[in-house]
Amino acid sequence: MVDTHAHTHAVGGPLNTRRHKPALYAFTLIVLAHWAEHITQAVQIYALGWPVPQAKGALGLWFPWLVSSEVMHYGYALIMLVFLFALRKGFVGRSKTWWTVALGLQFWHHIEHLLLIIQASASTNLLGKPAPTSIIQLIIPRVELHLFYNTVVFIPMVIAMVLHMRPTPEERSEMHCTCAVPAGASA
Amino acid sequence: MHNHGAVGLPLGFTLLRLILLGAVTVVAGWALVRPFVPAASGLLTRRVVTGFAGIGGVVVLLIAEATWMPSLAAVALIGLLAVPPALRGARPVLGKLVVAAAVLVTAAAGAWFSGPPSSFAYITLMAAFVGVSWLALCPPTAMVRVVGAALGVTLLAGLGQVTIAGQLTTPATGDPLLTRVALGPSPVDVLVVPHMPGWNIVHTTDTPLSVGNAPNALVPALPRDGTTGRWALVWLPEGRGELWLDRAGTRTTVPVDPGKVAWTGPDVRGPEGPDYASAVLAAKLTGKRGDLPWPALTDADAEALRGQVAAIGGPFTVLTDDSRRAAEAAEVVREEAARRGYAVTPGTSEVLVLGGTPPSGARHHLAPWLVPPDLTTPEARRYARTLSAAFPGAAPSRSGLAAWAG
Repeated sequence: MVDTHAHTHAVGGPLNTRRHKPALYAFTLIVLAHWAEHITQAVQIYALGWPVPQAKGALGLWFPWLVSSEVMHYGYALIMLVFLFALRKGFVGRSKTWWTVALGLQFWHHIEHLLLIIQASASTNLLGKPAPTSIIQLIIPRVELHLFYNTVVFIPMVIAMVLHMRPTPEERSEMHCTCAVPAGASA
Repeated sequence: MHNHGAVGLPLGFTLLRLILLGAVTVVAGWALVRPFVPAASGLLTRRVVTGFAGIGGVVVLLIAEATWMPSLAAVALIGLLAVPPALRGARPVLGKLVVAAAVLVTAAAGAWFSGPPSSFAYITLMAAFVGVSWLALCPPTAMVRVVGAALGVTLLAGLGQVTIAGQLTTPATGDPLLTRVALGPSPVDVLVVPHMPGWNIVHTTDTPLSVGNAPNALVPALPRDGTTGRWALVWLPEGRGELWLDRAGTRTTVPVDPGKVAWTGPDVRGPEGPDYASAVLAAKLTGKRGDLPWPALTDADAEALRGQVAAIGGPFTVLTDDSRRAAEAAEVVREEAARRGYAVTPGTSEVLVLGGTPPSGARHHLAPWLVPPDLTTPEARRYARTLSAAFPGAAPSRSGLAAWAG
């Protein structure tokens, strides 16, 4: 019997091999739910004309603290970063490149949220602004900025997943998970 | 924008201070040692130094609350702080250019920028962090090492300046603030009561000056009858901010942090404000928190007032102010006068003063809380001495002595 234990370790453990597919499904669910909140908020502001302070997305209408808490926002950004990092080894070839792009962008998004939570915790805001303000937020308003951040992270993530499901023959030979659709179906 | 008011950590600002201290220690320490270590720093050392410089620069930006800084300048500054840790190889040309630009910008700010107090010190700190960070990417030539050491000294001097100016203090939230600031020819003592969101009464040394919550919202601090020093009313918004003082054109700021919980006591703008502030000052001098109960008419005061009515022995006038204590005292006095059959009418030669300024000409009897305290006891003498040292010019008061002894 071939001992695959060491090899499994080399490609990031069960999370990037036999559990890569369910992990990606779970991660996608979390991301889509968060995405839906931001889309809902954007609709509330731009389509329904709600004042920004009242536009709390979907869950935020019942649980306002979800929207108003910097801890929540930072926690989500960190979770995304951790997942993007933890699941990266399971990708190969083109999909890995796109996943890495998403990881890099999310790293910066996380830094922005880290700066926000530091300000909120220290009760002192960047440039004396009335609310915690991140770096790019000095130029672009918060709602639109984070909509943008989520978009630019989401797109390469989706591209990576699609390419991961439809790998080239060379990429398929390097994969150790079950994410790829059967060879005949992807042709 | 939705309100992202996360719960502030009790030590949040203190942590920023500690991070700044750590960053200055590491970065200035490395810059000052470098002239004696000609060898080039390894990648790890460079990453550590540039990393600490980056963090230090961002912390300075946060602490400075630099409302005077254009947003694009802040973005550029953060960019200059963030890039060096990410670079692997040396960048001698770019590094020297950035350092030269930082020095020029600082010199220009010193020459032409007239910002709030300590703003130049903050600019210097930020520029020095940028400078040392980019010099770390340059080979250690003699010039690089000397300039780096100079920037290291600048970091230490900048930190010293903002520390001495009191910019790094973390006033206790919601606790009356007592501080002394360097302003003009002599220091000025400042007491802010209750140091909570809303109207606050500010007591200062008796010197002409103006006070406000913004440089364009200064009001003169004025003397008040029956008190010493000067007084002003200032509105403080929630959260950390600054109290501005202007003395003959020289300005300084005092960090304040009224917190988020509004004052629910009586209006400090009323006539009892100074008396309350006097009690708070005494409490602060004993090391206690200054959130005392508002002065009220005690049973002992009421009994003393009845005694005074009896001692007057005939018709008298009552002088009050708008305070609740004076109103309650007036009721007690009128009841006692009615019980004894004495008329309480305006214009008599006997005046029982419950508040306000005693009139000239008439014989006046002061309510117990208006009578100067008995300073013959050892405790009272200690109070008077401590008050004189901590807030020169402030007169001891009965409420102050009670707070001191209580």
